Amino acid sequence: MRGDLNSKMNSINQAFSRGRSRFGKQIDDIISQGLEYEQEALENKKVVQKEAGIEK
Amino acid sequence: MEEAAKKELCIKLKNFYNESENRVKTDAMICLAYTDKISTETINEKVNAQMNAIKIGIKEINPKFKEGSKNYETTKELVTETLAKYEDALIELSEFYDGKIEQLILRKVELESSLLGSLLNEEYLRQNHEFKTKQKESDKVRKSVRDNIKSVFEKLKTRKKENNFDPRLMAQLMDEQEAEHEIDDQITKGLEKSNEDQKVNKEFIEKAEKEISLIKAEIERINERKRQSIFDAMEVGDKALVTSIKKPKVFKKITRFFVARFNTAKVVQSTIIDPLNLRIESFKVNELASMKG
Repeated sequence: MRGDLNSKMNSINQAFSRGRSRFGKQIDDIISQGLEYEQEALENKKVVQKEAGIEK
Repeated sequence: MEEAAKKELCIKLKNFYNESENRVKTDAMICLAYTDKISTETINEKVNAQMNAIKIGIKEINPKFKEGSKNYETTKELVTETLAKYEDALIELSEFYDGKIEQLILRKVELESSLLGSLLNEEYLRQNHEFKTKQKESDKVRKSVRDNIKSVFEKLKTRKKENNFDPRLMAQLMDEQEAEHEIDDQITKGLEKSNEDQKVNKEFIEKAEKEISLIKAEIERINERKRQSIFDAMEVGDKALVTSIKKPKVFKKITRFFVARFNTAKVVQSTIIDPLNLRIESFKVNELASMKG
């Protein structure tokens, strides 16, 4: 592809960010909370697996 | 919203967001690559056709002009140089269209990103609305107020039977009823607000989807216009691709004897290369310049 690939990717990222800036706080919160909950669930899973391993 | 349901919804929406973000960006890169592919292929086709036309032209001037012939290398260099200029002019032309397409692709990314936010919002509002509707039926405060009304009403009925009317109970009943109305109003207002939010969000989704579809169609149109414009560029006469260059009249009756005595390189330059260079320059100064404004 002609042109600088990184600069094209940057332009795409910027365009995406422009659209994302219109999400509103509510959706931003949902996404960041989703990430937190997911990490929390992963941690819990790890603990459960560890415990199960110990039991074995 | 209940904690567990909220957690599940947030994780689901976050995953949807991540997948969609990747898809939107990948689509944009693919679209840019496709646009570039059209330009490259069309330009290659056009340059190859021009190169073939030059080869045919040279063969018509002197069929014996080949590697090892006098000035062959100089002519080869001249042809290469001219074809490079020809290709550069075509690249410049394609970049004019590709720049427009790139802007449309970026606008599409921006809209798709906003649309993604609205789709997430739609799901959130839908689930929130469902929750509020259920809440209306099972609201604890509302339920307790209703129980109070029932109990006061029962007391009033009993007092009435006993002919022992208590105005305080009547006042309490009225207060409880008023409280129930207030709670109902609050829940209804919440539901109305949720309905309105859903409506506004839906309108934006429809608007964004429509604009995205128009952009897709416009990208296709510009790509097609670009292809045609590249094919038409620097053509002579009927605007068809130059596949043959006619030998100058003066050489039509040339014999083998004469051919050997003419400077083929000079003839090629004056009858093939120079006119082509003129076409390239004229194209750059006129068509290309006016296109760019």
